[in-house]
Amino acid sequence: MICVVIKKKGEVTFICNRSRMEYSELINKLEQKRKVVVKRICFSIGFVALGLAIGWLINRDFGYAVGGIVGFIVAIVLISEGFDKYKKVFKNQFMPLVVNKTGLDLKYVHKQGIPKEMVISSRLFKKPDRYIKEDLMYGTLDGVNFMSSDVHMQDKRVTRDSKGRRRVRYDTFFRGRWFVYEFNKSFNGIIQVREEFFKSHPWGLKVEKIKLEDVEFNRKFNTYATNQHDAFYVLTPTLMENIKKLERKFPGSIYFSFIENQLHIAIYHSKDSFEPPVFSKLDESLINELVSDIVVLQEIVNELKLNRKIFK
Amino acid sequence: MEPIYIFLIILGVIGFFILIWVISSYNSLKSAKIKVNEAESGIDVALTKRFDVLTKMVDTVKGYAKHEKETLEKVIALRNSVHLNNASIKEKQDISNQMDEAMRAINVIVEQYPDLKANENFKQLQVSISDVEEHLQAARRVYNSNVSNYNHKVQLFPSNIIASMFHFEAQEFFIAEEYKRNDVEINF
Repeated sequence: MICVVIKKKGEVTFICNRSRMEYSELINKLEQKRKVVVKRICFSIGFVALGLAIGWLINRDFGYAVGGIVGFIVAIVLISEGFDKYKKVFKNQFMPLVVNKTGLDLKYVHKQGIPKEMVISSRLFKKPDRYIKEDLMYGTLDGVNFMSSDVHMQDKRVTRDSKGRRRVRYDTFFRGRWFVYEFNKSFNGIIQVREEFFKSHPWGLKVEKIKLEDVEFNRKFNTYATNQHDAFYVLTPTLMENIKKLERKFPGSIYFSFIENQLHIAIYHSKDSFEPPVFSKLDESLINELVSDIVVLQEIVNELKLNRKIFK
Repeated sequence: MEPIYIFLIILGVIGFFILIWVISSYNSLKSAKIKVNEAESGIDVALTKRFDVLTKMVDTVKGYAKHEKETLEKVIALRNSVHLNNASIKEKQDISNQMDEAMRAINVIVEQYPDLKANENFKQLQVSISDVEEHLQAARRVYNSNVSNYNHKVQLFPSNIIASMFHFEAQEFFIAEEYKRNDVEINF
């Protein structure tokens, strides 16, 4: 398959010669499934209302509560069954087509993600009690090996209520997209660049706070490193400029960790990537949006010049 | 209590706080100066490495050099005569500039001789010099950052009082040639 990338006024469009039939058939199939989900949501509202009404007629004291709960359970089963089917087709059939459409050398696996140990090795966040990952993309871009996935990390909190009953709760401390790239400079130790309102340190490491010569960069980010020289060696003026540019592109907080010839980029935006739309139509604009989300992988390589290999 | 004792106690408290301030200002200046010295050692290490790789490069291209011979010989002579530990930051800057000149001369030679460009040993040296250049740039930026921090303390009130009392003097920056201020990207 040959794809042509057209960049016009910041918009990226991909024209491929893959059979457009395949696309339209799949989009139609997905549209039907999406409509089924929407219909089921409407029916569900009706079921809950019906449950409430019947319950109220049977027993006016607590009947409506029982009826409401029964209606709600039916609604949940109905919606999730339809949505699961729709999501399965979207992730397993449609997403690989979108990935192909970008023309980039990468693979997509819906139910996998970056291994937990790799994420922990970045020392950006503490070890999670619950680790959820999905939407793995991996491959080689301009000779740079990479991996990217959605990551959701939670902390377990055990509390006791007034009656002494034990309650377990999971609090999210990171939810967003995680990228791992091969990095082109060798050094010992670790360097972290953290964009955050409340200062937090790299996890479990003895580091010093580094003040670089770029005032704007220092205002936006907190930089930590095991030694000052490594930080200045890796964070060149050009790289700092490009990190600022990258930060402007992404909503939410962005974190960088340079460790063991790897660059970890974590974007905390509390969203799941590549999710099928329910209330909006599946059309070209959505496909272009998905494609742009994937092309970001290449843009990071270009912006941070990760493909510059004069040191190896 | 007698007013004179009250006066003496107040004087003692003020004196105590002044002493604390003098000690902390002195320590802060001293540690900033130590950081400057450490950063200067970083420059020495980077310059020494650059000298070593450059000497190897000069040895490799010597046979090809005609017009640039003098520039290259100057670098070798410099290597044998200079002791970086005793040199001032200005002298180190001059040494670095002369190495830049030698590097430019080597580039001219490499452009003229494609077989040299294809030489595996020389290619390896090119990779090494790029890395060394990056480290020198980093060492220079670390030094300037630490000098800037130290000079602020030496020149700004009230720490400048302690600086002048204990003869802390402002330090010179390591100024790179204009083209060197950008990231190192040597393309042979």
